[in-house]
Amino acid sequence: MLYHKVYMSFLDFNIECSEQSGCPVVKMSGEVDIHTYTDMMKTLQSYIEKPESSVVLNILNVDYIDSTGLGAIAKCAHHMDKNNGLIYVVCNKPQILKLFDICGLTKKNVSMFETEALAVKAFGDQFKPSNG
Amino acid sequence: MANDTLSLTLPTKSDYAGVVRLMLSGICARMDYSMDDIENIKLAVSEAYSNVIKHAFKQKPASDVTVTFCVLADGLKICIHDQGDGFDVNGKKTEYDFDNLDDPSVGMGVGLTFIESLMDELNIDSTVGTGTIITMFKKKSSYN
Repeated sequence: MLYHKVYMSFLDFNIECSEQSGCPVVKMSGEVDIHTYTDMMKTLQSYIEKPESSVVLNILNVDYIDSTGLGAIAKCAHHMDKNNGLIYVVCNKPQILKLFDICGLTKKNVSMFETEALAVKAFGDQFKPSNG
Repeated sequence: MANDTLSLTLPTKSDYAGVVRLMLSGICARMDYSMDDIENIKLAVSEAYSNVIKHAFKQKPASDVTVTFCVLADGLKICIHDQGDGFDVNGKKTEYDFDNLDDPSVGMGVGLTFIESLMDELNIDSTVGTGTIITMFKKKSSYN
């Protein structure tokens, strides 16, 4: 059982892009490492050049991410910050959440959510027109 | 399994990062590690291997990396040995520097921070021009 769980996650990485109520959602699954992070970076780069760009990054099905993958998120967050954008990361794995804390990402414009619905709602609240 | 030594020699290519993790999973699962510990060890060793790929051979032509796994009674010791450029151990960074994200040393410093945080022991022996040996150790759950 243990071996099965360990081996099943080997070398599998996918990215899906979609939109929910005007909110861009990037959903990734598998392992993000030095071999696969460039695909992730290319996808995120397509969002960072838009003014006031923000994106929901769903990594609920990511089994493994290392400093190269987190570095790609850091770069994306940095570029989006210049345009007052945010990255809404959807993640519920303690193993991965602690890495965001260790490398200081959560001190910047990266917010963590347990579900995609909560992240999309937060995105909607950010861009809600003011009544003033 | 105590006192067994296994060794893996790999090209410095990102294609094989997953292979290192796979071998580690096989070794750790046969020891007394929890799933959390296995994930921590996989990340730590993968970070060290990624550092070699990203940074070790900027000056010298790329050569193989040797990863040695020493199965000890109280835990697992792993050595990652390259014969690359070497680096200044004191220059490492601990968090992403958001003003210098294109600095090629950024990923490396954070990778070493991960290793320090996730493993019980870390030793870096690096000499500029000669190469680097990163040695790390994770105690078995039953010895904590």
